[in-house]
Amino acid sequence: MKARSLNIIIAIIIFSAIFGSLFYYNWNLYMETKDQFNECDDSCCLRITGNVSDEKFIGISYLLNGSFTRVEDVEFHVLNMAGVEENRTISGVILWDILISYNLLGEDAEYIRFQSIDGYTTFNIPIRLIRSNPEMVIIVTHEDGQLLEPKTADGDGPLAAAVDFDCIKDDSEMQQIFEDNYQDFVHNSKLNAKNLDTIIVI
Amino acid sequence: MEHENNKDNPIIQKSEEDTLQYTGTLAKRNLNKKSRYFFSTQELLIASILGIMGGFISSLIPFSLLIKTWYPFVGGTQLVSGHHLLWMVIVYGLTKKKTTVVLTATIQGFIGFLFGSNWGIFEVAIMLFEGFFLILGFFIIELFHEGNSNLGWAIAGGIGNVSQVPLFWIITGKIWLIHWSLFVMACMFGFISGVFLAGLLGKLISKRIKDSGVI
Repeated sequence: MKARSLNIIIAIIIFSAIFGSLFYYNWNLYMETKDQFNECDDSCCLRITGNVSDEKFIGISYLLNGSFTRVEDVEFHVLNMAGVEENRTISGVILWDILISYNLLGEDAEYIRFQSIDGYTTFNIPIRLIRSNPEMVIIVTHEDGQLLEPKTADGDGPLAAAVDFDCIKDDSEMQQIFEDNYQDFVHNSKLNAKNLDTIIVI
Repeated sequence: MEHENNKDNPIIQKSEEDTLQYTGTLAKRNLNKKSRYFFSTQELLIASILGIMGGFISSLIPFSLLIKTWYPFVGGTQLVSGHHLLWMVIVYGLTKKKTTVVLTATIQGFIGFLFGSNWGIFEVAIMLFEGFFLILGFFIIELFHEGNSNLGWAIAGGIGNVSQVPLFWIITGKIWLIHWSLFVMACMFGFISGVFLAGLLGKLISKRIKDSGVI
């Protein structure tokens, strides 16, 4: 066999081995997370974990049946990191209502973070901002009047997170958080997690 | 009458070769076949057409759907990201000029901007960034005398496409939030996509176009 062909084969083997091991590692993490959702008895659950009194799984049925305070067809102002602005018409459950209904927050809980099914995580959001602007931080179930489609149907749902830009734009702590994460300016697109499945309280 | 030495008289030398090519005031200026323009009309047309096609296709067709519906982790859509670079590879294959890659990238980015890209006008800078690394990839493979081989083009496409993974992950801040293994996997996907969708497919398409005699 020519040396060139041999080198190509060796490179492919090494590449595949590295990829395979990384995929295996992440697959195990993914399955562990999925196992944690065994407690969920609904088609989809929102898991609240971290610095909480008790880890909670809230089924999507509860989020849709009026058990919590909802906002309907509100316009959320979104700014992305390229400076492009848009308005989204969304409906969902007020996050603060969920947190106080179950009295979940630990005494020293200061921040929350959203996490998606695929491992995407947002920056920390101060709980005081959620407390003072409850209708600006919601768990989204509908957009433009339509139920959010799941990831398998190329949707952003069945649950997503939304934080209105006006909630965070003038907050100095948010500015510091964005600076600490090497972002030039505050924008809320990063906090609007699609395919939401977990809220981590810190 | 003595005949002038043709070798010394450039006008007569030229008239013996391509008599109809240059006439009038251009005759003296273009005797060594160098155009005063950097791009020929054909090169401009090819680069523009491919840039426009790339802009349309990249903006309108949701290739990420092929991956998002089944791949469970962040970064999987990099597996189809090579289609952004395909057009630049084709234009290089057709013109053999690396600077046409810049032209195609600019036009493609601008079309993406006009279609309402999330990145706004930065779309142009992003495409230029990818084009620059594609050019770098071609320079590297030429250093290893692989400038005409499938392997060389595949690697050039891979290098060009893998560059946009750290770019996007850094400017979106994902790189500091998500586990490094997912970042490495996304880079690998980007490289694979560049190899197949950009490098190999681009070479194949440009070869077929040339062989067809259209250009």
